[in-house]
Amino acid sequence: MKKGLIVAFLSVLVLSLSLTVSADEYQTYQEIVFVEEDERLLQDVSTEDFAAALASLGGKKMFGWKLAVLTKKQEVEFLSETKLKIFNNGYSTIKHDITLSTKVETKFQISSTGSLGTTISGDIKKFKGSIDGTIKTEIGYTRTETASELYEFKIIVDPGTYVTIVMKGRGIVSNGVARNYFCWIKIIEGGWETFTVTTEYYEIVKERIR
Amino acid sequence: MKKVFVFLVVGYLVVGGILLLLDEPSAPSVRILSIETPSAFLITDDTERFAFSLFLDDPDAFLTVMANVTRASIHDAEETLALLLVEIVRTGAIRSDDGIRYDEFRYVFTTDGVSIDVGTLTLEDAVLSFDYEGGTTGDYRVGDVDFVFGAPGDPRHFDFTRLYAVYEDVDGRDALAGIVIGLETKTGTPIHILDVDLHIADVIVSLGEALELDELPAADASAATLLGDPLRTLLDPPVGGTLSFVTGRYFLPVVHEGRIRPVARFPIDIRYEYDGREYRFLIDDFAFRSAFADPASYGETIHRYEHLR
Repeated sequence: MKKGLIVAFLSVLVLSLSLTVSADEYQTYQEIVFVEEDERLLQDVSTEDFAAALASLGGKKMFGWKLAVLTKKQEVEFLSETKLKIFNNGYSTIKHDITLSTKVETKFQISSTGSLGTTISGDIKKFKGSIDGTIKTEIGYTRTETASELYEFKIIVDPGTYVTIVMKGRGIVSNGVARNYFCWIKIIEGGWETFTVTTEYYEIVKERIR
Repeated sequence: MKKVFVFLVVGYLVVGGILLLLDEPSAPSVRILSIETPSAFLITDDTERFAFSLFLDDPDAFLTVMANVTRASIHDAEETLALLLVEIVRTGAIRSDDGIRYDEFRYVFTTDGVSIDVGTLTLEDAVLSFDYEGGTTGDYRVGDVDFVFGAPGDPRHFDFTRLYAVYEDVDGRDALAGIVIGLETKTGTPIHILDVDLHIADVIVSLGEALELDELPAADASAATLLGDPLRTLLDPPVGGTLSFVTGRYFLPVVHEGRIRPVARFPIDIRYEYDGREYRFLIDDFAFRSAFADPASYGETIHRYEHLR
């Protein structure tokens, strides 16, 4: 009876955890292209390959995490979202003051799938539990403690014109799967991914409003 | 009873000793780093904000409190510009070679009422100076600075339609290799660009090598590839010349004198001729790239200072 209660409790725990899905800013980028052709983001890994990666974790263990790496420190190029759009629909030239932010290298982002979660401590995003340290050891991650800076930019915009500022950049991606056991029972299972922006480039485009 | 007394005394001594160790007085001074990096700002009026970085090993030091700064200025051997400190912002941190963490503070200024219609104030090996409450002062070397006074370009004769910088890899470091700019005249009459100045010391636009582009290059393309000369380097001498255009997209190559400089944000100052007269078109300083986290790795000089607390 007691054993049944424990199993029921753990099953509820697993169910509630499996609803957790976490995303980060890089998943809103318009395009992410790996320099090496065969590499993929976690979201592009097929169900079969994901299942195979989980299977590669092997048999159960009493306590703790099992981890497999699918992509390790692979370089990507990305096109981010448009940071800003200014429209001049009027009949005269306008001077526009824009407050822009520029990131200082390096910016670390993470995401997870399945019941593997993320948490925020201060301004640092981490994977929930001791898996955070395990992943960072596995991918050889060192955090550069830097932040962003705001600055002002003035631009003249002709009538019938709009200005966009877009961001492109380079980054490093690692991803894989992980599973956590408690008394040989699978508690947490899912995918993890880290995305480190190494450099951002900014571009101004002025176009005619059609 | 005696044993209990001895036990208590020893206990007090041990606890007292631990407390004394934990309450070790903080270091008597605060360490400060400044890194000489070339910078340039377009100053459109006396409210225009610009910033310089100092790195401190104590984020709570008196230098990080606005109220403790009574006066600020920037000067070189010949010129001095009074500054108004408007904000001190902690933007990040670096770790020095000896493992000490230094928090980066951006000291944000305006020109304290100084507003010049047109002109450039060039400060070579500029020194940022502060007077602090209590009569102490601090001088920090921040590198060459250009203050370009003027208004952003009025697109009455031409406008730019596209603008980004190309950074190529030089020995694992990102180096500014040129500017990609789309240009369009307003009247269809050719415009002649006579000079393009980024106002960054030792970083020169090689206008004579300007190249019209059929396709836009990647932001990490190499100048040698774009110019079709595998032997060309970013340390080659600049080639003088002019660029005439009606409409087109151009690569304006950049060369560095002596060594590669870490350049992320700069204005663009275009001197051009239209209908027999000379004009100037300014583009505000724009961050073409994320800031360099470690400018010292480019050989930029680090200066170390120490202040009593």
